[in-house]
Amino acid sequence: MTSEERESNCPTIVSVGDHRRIKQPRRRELAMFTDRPWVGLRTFGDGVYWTVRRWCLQDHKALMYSVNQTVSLLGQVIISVRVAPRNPSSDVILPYSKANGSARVKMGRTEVIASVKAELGRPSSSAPGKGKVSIFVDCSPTAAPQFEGRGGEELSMELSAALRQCLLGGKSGAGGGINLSSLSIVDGKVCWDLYIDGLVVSMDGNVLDALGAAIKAALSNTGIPKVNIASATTPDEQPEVDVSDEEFLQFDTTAVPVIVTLTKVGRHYYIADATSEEESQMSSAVSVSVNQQGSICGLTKRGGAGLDPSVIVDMISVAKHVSEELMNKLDSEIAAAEAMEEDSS
Amino acid sequence: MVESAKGMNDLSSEMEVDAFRRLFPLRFHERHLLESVRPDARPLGKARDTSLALGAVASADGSALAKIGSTTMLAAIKMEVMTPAKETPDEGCIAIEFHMPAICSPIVRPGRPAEAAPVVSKQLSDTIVSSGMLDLKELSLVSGKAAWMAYLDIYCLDADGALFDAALLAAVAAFSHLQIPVVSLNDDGRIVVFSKESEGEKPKNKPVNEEKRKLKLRSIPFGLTCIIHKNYILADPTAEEESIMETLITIVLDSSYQLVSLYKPGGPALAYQPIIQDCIALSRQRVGELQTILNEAICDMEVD
Amino acid sequence: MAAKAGTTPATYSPSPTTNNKKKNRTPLFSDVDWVRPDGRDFHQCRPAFLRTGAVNAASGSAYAEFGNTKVIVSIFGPRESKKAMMYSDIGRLNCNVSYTTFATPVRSQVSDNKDISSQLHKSLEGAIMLNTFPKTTVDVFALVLESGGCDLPVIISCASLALADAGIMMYDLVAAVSVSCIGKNLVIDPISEEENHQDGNLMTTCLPSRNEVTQLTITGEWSTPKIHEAMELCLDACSKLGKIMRSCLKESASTSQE
Repeated sequence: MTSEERESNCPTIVSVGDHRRIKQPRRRELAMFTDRPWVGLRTFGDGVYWTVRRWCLQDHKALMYSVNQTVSLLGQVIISVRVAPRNPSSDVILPYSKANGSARVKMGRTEVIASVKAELGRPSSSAPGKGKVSIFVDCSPTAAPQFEGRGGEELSMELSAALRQCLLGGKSGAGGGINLSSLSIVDGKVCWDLYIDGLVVSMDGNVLDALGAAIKAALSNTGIPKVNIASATTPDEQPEVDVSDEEFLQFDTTAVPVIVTLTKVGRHYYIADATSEEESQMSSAVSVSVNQQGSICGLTKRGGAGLDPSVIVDMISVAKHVSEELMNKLDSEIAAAEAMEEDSS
Repeated sequence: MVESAKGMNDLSSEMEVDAFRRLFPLRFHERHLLESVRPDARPLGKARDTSLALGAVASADGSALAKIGSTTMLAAIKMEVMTPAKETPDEGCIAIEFHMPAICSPIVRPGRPAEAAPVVSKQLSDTIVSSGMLDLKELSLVSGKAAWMAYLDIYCLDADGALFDAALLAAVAAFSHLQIPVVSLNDDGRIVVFSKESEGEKPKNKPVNEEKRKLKLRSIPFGLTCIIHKNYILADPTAEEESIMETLITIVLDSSYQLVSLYKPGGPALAYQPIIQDCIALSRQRVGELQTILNEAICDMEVD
Repeated sequence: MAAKAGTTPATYSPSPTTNNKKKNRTPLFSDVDWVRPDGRDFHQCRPAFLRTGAVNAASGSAYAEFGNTKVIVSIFGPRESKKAMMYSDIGRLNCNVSYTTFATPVRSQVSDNKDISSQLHKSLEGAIMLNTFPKTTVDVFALVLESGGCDLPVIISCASLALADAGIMMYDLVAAVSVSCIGKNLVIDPISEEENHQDGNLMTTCLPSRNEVTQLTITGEWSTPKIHEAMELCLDACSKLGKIMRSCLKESASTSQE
């Protein structure tokens, strides 16, 4: 099913919702988000209950269910959270013959491409037994009018830095999604350099999460050529490496975290997967990267407004919940995309 | 000041001193010159208070912080190893760079280097090389194989006139503070820092420069910049004075009062011989002052 | 320059690169009971030295020294925004961080200042009343004289002090502290050596009197309780640092009055 079909099958209230939102930006009623499933948290007495409503767009019909769950959150504030709303539909594409792996992820109208390229390089002297990974993001001028010329540079830089922080872990490698030791070929002499490039093709909010998902998908699509090392070399010389054209090693992506951005709008709302329009109203946003074990692997904050420490703690716990769902969703999408690719080839 | 400015202009009697200073800067300064005094209460030939501290940067091999008035310079030397050039196998090398980071002055913006920086940079390296203060042979480690490259970087932390004088003072002070690390030649032919703790390696790799940890500084150069305006000579100008009266003359003498360089980059005023001689006389006096300041700084360092 | 005129030869720093020595050092940190290289307690910050008015040419400035980390921040403005900038009814903040060539053990090691500059911008903008200087720009320029660990937090705290010295209206001072996670231990205000061995890092910048966090960055793998613990540590240290910064400002105000 194509995305156009999907959109046409959405409830007609979508346009109404959007329209109303523009006119009355302050009245963020839950009904406005009918095009997107959401989870609401509401306070009743001391406890906070989760209400989950969800439209499964795949089934072309609105399906609603609710869960009552007590969550120990501080205060009596009403917090509504939309969760994993736009389906991350990832289709693995292979337009770059030179890349070792690539993926395209769409979330609503946000579309990003990630590609992974592996090249032989020399390990740095400070970490002789490890490979190197570099992440760069580029914002295509077609994605938004403000990216024309050098306009996208600042955002590109911010996104690259945030991705590095969220995916590569600490200095010792703890919490890193990519096992750098597995990229080593000969200690101190040869290693793989992974170049991960992200491209924002079309932007409608939540680009960081989309890029994180795309990189995860691209890495799982990445095959690293097997190498044979000519053994008889003196320790001084650079060893000769023979790169195989046929045999590839699959990259292990189970440790790669997913990124969940919660955007704080107004005083009491935080939204997952915000659109551009919603982001324009944000006071601040917190991006949390969470791995499969539920550990936090990175966190960044955007937006100048200060947050109460307890709110940040809340946001981290909400992001953890959201990430579980996103992780499952992404894993199944990646598996499906890979199956498709195998069929076609 | 309002009182004394009365004679100059009718306007000035109705004006605050600060406003007069901004609107008619030249007249403001000339009025002072008539009284043989400068806006900061200095006599014309006197330099500002100067201070010097050695060893300001722990991560460098030699460093110094020099302050002339509010002009502040931080100089630091890092020693690295290079293969000497074929023509001069027994000589090391020095590379001098003068930086004006954005913090030092409102006219410098990041990404656009200040115009003055490369000029001062060139002037400094010319002066230090031609003064014969250093013997580059002292920087040799293993003839033809390895020699020291001394990177001297001077940062202007606060720019308030007479940049060259302060930079030169910081540079020579950094050289006099320089302590060359003890190094040895390892098996791969690379120079590594000699460490006493490294057990078992001592007999194999002897230190190559145990006796050469300090450079012998012969004639040390010191500079004085003066403004020439009409018949007046203003020693050690501030940034404000430099911007209003544009003719500068910089004289560098070494510690035995020999002339190292004389630099007068154009400007509307011409320097006649008597003026130049007056300037040189002022610098002779200043060199004496600076030498005492440097010696005191070195003594302070040794006491610590 | 003899060498500069010709081709500048390739040079290297004669660092003590005996590999076995480095390997000896790593387990030092992974033990349960190790001692910090500078002998501090795990939860003890380095002594802070702060002073305003370090640069006369600037509208406001501050110098900060935390152990071997030495930073100068100058503030210029509010002054006219660049001509190319569009009209803005709130003020702009322009941040730039640079390092001296001798700041790091190896010469000119720091390459990416843009990232650290944008982090400085993000940490400060929430504290400044930008509406008080419309159409103009305040420039925040930082120079790291020596990098000895925790550079960014020191720059941020120093910059907010310099902003106060320049008389820029702020909601509160910004205090920043970072915590390193090394093995099972959390160490506050780490030095470079500790930062090079850390498993994770958490940096908090906050407005101490308003109890608001303007910036929080986490790297490495963290469990939720550990994050809580680290945040508590940071916030506590931030409020103490805030007091030191406040007293530094009071001191400079009283001396200027005399």
